[in-house]
Amino acid sequence: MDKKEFYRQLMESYTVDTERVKRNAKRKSRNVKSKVLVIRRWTAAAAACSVVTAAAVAAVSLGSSGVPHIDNSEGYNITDGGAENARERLAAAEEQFAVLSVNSGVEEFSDLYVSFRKPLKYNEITMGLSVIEDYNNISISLLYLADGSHYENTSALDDSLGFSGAKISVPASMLSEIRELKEITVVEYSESGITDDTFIPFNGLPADVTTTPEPVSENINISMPNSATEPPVTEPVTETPTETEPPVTEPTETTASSETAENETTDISADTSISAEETTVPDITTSEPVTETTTEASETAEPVFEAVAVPLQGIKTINFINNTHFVAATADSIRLFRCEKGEIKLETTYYASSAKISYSSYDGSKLFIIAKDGENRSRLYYADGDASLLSEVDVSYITSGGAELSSVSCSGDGKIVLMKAVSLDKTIVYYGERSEGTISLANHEYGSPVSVLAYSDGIVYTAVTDSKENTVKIYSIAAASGAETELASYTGTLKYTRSPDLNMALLTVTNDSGEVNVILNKSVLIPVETSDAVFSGERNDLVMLGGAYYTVSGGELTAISEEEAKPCFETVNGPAYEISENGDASVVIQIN
Amino acid sequence: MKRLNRKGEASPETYFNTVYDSTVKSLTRFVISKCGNILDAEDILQNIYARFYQRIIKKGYDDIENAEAFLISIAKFECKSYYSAQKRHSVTESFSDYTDEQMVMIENEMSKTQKNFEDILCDELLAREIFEDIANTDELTGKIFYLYFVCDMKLADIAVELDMNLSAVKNKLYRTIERQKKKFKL
Repeated sequence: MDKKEFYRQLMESYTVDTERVKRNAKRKSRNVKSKVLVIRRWTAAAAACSVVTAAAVAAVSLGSSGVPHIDNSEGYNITDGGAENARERLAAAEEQFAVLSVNSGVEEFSDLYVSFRKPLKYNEITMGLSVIEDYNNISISLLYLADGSHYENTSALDDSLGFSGAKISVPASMLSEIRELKEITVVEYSESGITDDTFIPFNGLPADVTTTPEPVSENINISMPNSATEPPVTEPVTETPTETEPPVTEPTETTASSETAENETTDISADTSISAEETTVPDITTSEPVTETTTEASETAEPVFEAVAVPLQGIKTINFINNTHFVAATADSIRLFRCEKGEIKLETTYYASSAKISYSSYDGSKLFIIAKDGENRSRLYYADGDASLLSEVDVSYITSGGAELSSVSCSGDGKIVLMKAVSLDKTIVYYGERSEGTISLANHEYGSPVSVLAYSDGIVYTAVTDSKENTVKIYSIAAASGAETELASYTGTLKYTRSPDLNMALLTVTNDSGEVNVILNKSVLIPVETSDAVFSGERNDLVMLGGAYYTVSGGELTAISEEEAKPCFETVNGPAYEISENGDASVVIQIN
Repeated sequence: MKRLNRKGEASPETYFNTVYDSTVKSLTRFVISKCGNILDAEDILQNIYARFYQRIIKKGYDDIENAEAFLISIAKFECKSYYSAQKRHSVTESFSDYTDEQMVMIENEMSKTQKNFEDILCDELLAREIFEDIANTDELTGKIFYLYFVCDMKLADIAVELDMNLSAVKNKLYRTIERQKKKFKL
């Protein structure tokens, strides 16, 4: 190659990516908002988990884990071209997913061709997609019958039609979630060479992998271990001998001044001192002397921090729930570890796959984790930093009929719990108060995709999406009586940001004429000019809008000085940790 | 309800795909000539084609006789909007011209085969670094490179297209090539 050819190829490759231009032009014209989501501090852990999940499922090409793999499915006529072509298609899909999932941290959109386990009506497709919390970011452009003939997604679609596949546009960050949807068997990518006219859905998958959702009765009680009194369920694991140890019950309220967290030991510990400055120092104290102590003003030893390896392999995520305890998730388990005097001990193990943090309090001390058991049923786990416990919340009553637990959130004090379960024909929102180990739940059913926006003073706020009409309706529901009131109706696509305390939310509706932003607070929708909102975790009436600070009270915004407000927005960091690509991890803990 | 046949003749998406494939090259050249910086070209192209796609979804394409001309008119509007949002920077050149001999030497060198070019193109990080070095030199150099190497335009034509004098075009091109030769051992 000569220099002319070199520069030609270089400039051609890097100036304009024509495929990307084409894809994004189509996406933009469909009015799907490409702006990066407003980042909330308290969901940082959940976001990190989602990215890792993408890597976790990269090895499989079929959608839900409950669907048999193509290599084991002899005799299934799943494609026009026979099994060999099917394998090729799956291999191509697998390869493309591996490539695309690398970009899962960005808001680039991908066009996907998905096949369903059985023909679905349009409403069932949108319900299935609504299992994903940010389902409003997904747009359906084409709907396919089993023979490959297809329809545009218009409001004039015949409701009686059953579609075997669809072309959808989703943010790259959602690829893994799409693949995990149980209604979807195969996800294929336009990058594999599939076009709108050549795509034929995989069909003919066996009926035994489908489940019929059963109605869930109202006003149920779900037992939830009282984290202050009940011990966690422990399960046998082979990796370490410490898993059956009882949880640590030593006091956790001891807080030392941030200055004592400083140390001069290693590079890693230097990093730790940064995070330690913003959090309470681990309460483990020891009488053992530290040899290099040079403290003049204090009798106590300088804390020494060091990176210690976690005795577990294949770690996907780590979340500290306090300074001594962290939850680690692998491909098939969720475990609670305790750090003590330079050692890391396993306390609790639950075996479940596809762990996803559905809710994290702003300081990371309370986590709700949704995962799946061997039968692909949703399981829910609760990690409580105050009690240093990881426990399972029994949601079998919700999921036994085949409904999938889609999201769980809770108020800042942990008392109000909101859950969303999705089955093909309906979405059910459960809401209630947690009291002495039980959550008294009531529920409300929807026939369309719904988002849970907020909860305050006994009222749940929801947004119901009608994809065909491109409308979003905001409702308030009285928890006690179930009475529903429509607060507003918008045309366009909704995105929302909830406050950590769940008492308010910023709603952004995008349509052809632009963007509408409102803050929902106590049944009042307050118009605001920006979609750039950050809610305070410290104070539930504070919000930062486009860099300015406001209190929200009685449906009104009042400006507040930066000096007063800024401290309430500081990020809370836990101890430092590192996870390598192969799943080995180390955490920086106090060793003396 | 609009049913599409397997060939998708009625689909705006199929029409869009066909038009896109046949026009993207000329539109890219147009945008690169008119835009401020080569690094903005992709965004502008996206906007142009998004407007076009939105238009054919809403109003169809029966009345569009010449899709390329239609796109160019959108492109002019987009570039105008783009310019109104940007301050144009005047570039003052203060280097001396290359002699004819030097230029011939550089031209000759460019026709020589060099083994490591394939390797460099395969090394995405390095290739991108070289590209960005060109694009960030100034607002014009990237455009000159694109028009010269990709569009195969003559330097005199590039000078007319970019409203520059010929020696300035040559100097920008050769000076960057010489600089990259030293910097990246090309």
